Amino acid sequence: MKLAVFAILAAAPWAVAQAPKTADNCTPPPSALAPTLPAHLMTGMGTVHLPITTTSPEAQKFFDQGLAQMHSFWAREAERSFLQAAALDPAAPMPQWGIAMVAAGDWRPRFQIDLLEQVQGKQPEPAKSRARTAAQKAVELAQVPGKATDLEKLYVAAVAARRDPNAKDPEEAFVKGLRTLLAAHPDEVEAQLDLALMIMRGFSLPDKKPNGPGSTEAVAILRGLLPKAPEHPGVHHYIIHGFEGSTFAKDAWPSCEKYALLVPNIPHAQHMPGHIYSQTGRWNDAVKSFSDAAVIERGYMKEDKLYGNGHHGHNVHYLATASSFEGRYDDAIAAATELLGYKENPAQAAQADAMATARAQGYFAMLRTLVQFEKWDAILSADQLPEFGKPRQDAWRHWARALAYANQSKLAEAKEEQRLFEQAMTDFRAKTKRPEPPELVVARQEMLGHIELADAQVERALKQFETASKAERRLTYTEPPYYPRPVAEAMGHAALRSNKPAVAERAFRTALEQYPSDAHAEQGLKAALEQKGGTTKLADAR
Amino acid sequence: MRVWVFLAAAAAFGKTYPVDGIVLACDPAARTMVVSHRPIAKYMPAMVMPFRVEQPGELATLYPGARVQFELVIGNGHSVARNVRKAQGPDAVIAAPKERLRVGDRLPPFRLTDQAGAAFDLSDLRGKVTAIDFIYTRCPLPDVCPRLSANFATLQRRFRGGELRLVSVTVDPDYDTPGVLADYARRWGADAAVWRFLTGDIAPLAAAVGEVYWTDEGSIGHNSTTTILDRQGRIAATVEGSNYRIDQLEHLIAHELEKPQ
Repeated sequence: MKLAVFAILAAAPWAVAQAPKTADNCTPPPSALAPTLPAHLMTGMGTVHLPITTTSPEAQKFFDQGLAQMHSFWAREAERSFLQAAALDPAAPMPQWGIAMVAAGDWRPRFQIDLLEQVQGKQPEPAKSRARTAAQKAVELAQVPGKATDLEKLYVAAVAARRDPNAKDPEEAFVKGLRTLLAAHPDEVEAQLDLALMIMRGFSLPDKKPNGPGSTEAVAILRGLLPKAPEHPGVHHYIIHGFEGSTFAKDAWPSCEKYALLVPNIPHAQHMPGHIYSQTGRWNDAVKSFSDAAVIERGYMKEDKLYGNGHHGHNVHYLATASSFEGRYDDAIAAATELLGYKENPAQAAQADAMATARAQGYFAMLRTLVQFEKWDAILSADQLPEFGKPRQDAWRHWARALAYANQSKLAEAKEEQRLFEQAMTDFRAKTKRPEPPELVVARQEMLGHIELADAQVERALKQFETASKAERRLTYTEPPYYPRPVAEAMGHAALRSNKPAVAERAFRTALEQYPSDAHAEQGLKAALEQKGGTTKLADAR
Repeated sequence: MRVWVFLAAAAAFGKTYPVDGIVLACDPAARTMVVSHRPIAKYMPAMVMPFRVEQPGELATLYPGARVQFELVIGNGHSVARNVRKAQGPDAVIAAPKERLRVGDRLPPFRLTDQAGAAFDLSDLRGKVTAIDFIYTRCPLPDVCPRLSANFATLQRRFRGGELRLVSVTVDPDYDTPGVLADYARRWGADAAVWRFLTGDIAPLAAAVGEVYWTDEGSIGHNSTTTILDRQGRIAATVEGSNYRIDQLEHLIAHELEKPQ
């Protein structure tokens, strides 16, 4: 029995002094099975039109719908729409071109494709084979006299080059094909968009420099397209990805607004701006993005038994995170509680370790919220943070309980939880045959700080927090973060309680550098400044 | 006790070979198990043979169809199977449903629909040895459903004209209507007199034979059990997964067919 692998990358990072991020599931994954027909014409997909050679006006409609869905990385529905177009006009090459573009699930920004290959290796074959078969069919159909324009033949040739199983560098072969097309048709909007997405290599951390000439060229193409195709959802979506991580990332804010407006019914179109808003401290806007995405996604999950809940888990986890950083406790708890209602499927339940299931994401969201709001009594109640039954989550639970006891000055109980934490870590190594998760190694360091503080060892505690904070900032950057709250936030609270406002101020400023507008750090900074008796205003501190 | 000491000594000084196989039968009283094993490197080709086990307690958890690994220790004129354990596949072990029956239990009645749209129940299998597997026609993984169906196609050919019946039950009944199953049956050259494909409310049958399936993220997962029923409709053997040699399944079925009626 094989299980579908569907982790897909989220947005690229902006955070300072942190390692590049790893894989995440930011869009619903491509379908392991070819989607079934019939497809339906749907509203709220965004309006895109590329005239194709077809005898069926209906086929043109489904083709355009597939194209719009493709531009929002909705591989499964895009493939379904292209399949419907192909069923309506089996002789038309462009619906096959569409399947070849989306079925492999690799219609993504180039920097994500590069990272995906590093993290996960090659794409799973069943999905890629559908794309390859369709590319071959598109080539054959395009050779039939009268069935394809020269422009269509160039589109088909480009994707066929990418899907050639013998291609040494499929993405570069595709780029070459697109440049050939654009040499003959320089104003072709679709091809310019495709090229921009396939050459964008992102920006480096922490200096925000282009990772390659393609990063800059993609930005130039997209800036040029904006006045020409201001209502094209792909233009705004690709601006978001093309600008993220750069020094001018905030230039993508208008496109965040516009993209969500143009495509109200595709989860990624609602969800993706939330990443950008979170990165820039607009937590309230992020909450709205993730909430809107959750509403429409619940509808699709209800309609389609095969929809899955992996992306919903990621989206609602991020909703809980944004709510928590915004200081909206009840909203964060509600989001986490929803996810905890999902059951793991039998394969997930059998795994010794799982982070990406909806339930696991809900558990972490619950833990984050309780810790970030320092709800020590709730943490110690079995109702709100029950045993999860897997070593990773059990380690986190004992960590949170150790913090709770330590912050209630119950040293012996905290040390017992520390012992149970170590037991869970041993269990993790034994059951997974993997080293300890780096974030839990940092958690161990932070826990020591809380225990030192409960033992009235203030200086040693603060030193321990400092060490843990540095280690936390070196962790792989993920969205949402897989560390419950910045250690600097905990350090700030500890320093405040120990009447060390200068240390607290420094710690909260560090937390705010990591997570701009973090409500907890802002409140802490305000308290630190008041304790100092200083005159600095919070607005100046931001 | 003297025999035991002798065996242990022989084993301790003998040559050892790792063995991987499927259990056809166990005889705790005789401390033996009959195993259809894969080729034993540098020792013998794949075949069916009885093995005497060093620790008879290890037989307690085994059953016909169980996939086992052990060390074959060859002593001076004696051999013994040491450290007999159930083989672990590459995937995590899926928990069995609580309704799962044991080997020897009688299958409860079920009523499903075959590829011709006709009702099908246990009475259609009366007096025959039957192999039941679970597939779905859309399965994109060549080493799961297509492999299972290829195995059944081989069984149909090898046991042609005999007392074997084959039943493939879909775990995707919403999509796999009788018409879809009929197309699939044609693809594998299924003879409806021998091999039926069933759809409908499959949940009770699946739970009874330990088949676990679920839908998720554009795919369907399942643990791919194959169950052998004896002529009285009792479970004679159960095999998990698709990673076995077809001759091992043939041996299991032949072993059942050879039993006196």
